[in-house]
Amino acid sequence: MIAEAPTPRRSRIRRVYVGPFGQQVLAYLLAGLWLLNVADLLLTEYALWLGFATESNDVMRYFLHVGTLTAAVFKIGIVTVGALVLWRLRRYRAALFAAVVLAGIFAAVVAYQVFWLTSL
Amino acid sequence: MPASTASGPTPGTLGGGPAPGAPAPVAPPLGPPREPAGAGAAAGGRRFRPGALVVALAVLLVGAAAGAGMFALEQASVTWRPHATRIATGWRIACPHGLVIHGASISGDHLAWVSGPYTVVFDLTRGRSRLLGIARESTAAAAPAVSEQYAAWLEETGGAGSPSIWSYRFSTSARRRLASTPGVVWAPALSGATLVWAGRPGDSGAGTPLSTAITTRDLSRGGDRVVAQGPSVDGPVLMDGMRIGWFVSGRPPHYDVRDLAGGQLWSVDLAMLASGAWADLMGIDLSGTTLVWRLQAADGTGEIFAADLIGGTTQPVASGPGLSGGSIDGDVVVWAQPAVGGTSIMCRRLSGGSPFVVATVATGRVTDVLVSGDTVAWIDESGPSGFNGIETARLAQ
Repeated sequence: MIAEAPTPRRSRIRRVYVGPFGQQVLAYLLAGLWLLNVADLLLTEYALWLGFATESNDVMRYFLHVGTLTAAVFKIGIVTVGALVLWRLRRYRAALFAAVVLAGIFAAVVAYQVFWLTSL
Repeated sequence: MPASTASGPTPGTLGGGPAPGAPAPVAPPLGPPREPAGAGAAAGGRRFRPGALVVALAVLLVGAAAGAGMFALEQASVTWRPHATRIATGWRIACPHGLVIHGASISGDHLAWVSGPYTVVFDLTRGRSRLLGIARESTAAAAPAVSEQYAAWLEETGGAGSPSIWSYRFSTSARRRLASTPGVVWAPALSGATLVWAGRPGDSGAGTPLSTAITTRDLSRGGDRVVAQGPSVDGPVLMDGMRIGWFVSGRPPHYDVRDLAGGQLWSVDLAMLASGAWADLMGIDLSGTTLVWRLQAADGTGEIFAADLIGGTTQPVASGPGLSGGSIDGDVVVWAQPAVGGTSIMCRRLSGGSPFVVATVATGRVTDVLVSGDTVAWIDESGPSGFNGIETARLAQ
């Protein structure tokens, strides 16, 4: 009796990989995410300086309380590290998905802040 | 390309399928495909693809659109924003949601008021309103102060503490909570960049009568100056140019005005009608060296006076039942008085001439009348079923 060979489950595994096109999309998204993060920091600082806003994120509130430079180093640093991790995992579709979600959220937050500040 | 490499035919197969009798194919490793090194791979992976940039930008645009949508949704549901309509004589500004205006001030193009917990300023030139502050407790009915450069207002902070003074600078849109203003007991007054307020710094909140200090602060350069202090010193405080006024309780009660530049101090007796009867001080205003105040007796009879501080003369401006307002700018005094078919917004130039009607309010109750330059504004409180808001009109030259 000949044992039936196990069927490789390659088709499911292949679906998590991202090709060159997707990796380039990921690169642009991570660059955009980094820039939006800097914009978010600057707009938040401006809104706090105006006196119309309070930082609702407890972690960032702590760092902003310590100092602007500390908050900037933390915020930019953590997003830079996160972006590098996602780029390291660029062949996985999950990395691209995470970048899409994060960049979309940051774009929404920055757009909201711009509209809000111009309405003051 | 890693993905295509992983899906390629494996050794020992033909056409991708296992040959009969052949050993079972070995599955490729489950880890991610490796990027082959070499110039060819780099060229394939790093070649500029406009489509990738378009997709990334589309993602960012969708996110930005979501943010704009959230902002629009939030703005549509705000309760503070008034409905301003330009009319032939000026503006008709309606406060939504039955909010009633507690107090208002005008200076130049800026009209500020408190409605409910909201402190709002309106630009009479652009027709644009902006929210300055939201009090945690809407118990303070103090009118905000406004000058050409700043607005200032009180915000109840909640708890047993005294309200805080906040300022807003029009040129920079910067809003600040002023430090070191303990025991504020009256709404502040503004002139240019100078703020003045009445406070009892040592007030523990236990009701102990303490000395009240009238203090000025330069909002642009900083620096406090106590102008007057004492147990009989009280509010309301006024400021115009470099002249500051405050109430002094006693028999008779009077109002002191000090010129910070020249050092002169004027005292004006208040609280007595022309008939000699005692009355309550309902409103007071200062412009240059002219003090205008409104008294009201227990029977509702009111009188408006104007005192020339330098000349030392006092003249009656208006009298009768149901007066409201009593504001001055330059030589123009405005007020409201009942008339046939409603309420008349009245004006009189102290330099000469008879009083004349600026506008007639058919329904409702006019609670205050303000003037700045050639703009007259009045608060119309018609109740839940009618108009609640402010109307403005231009005075004829």
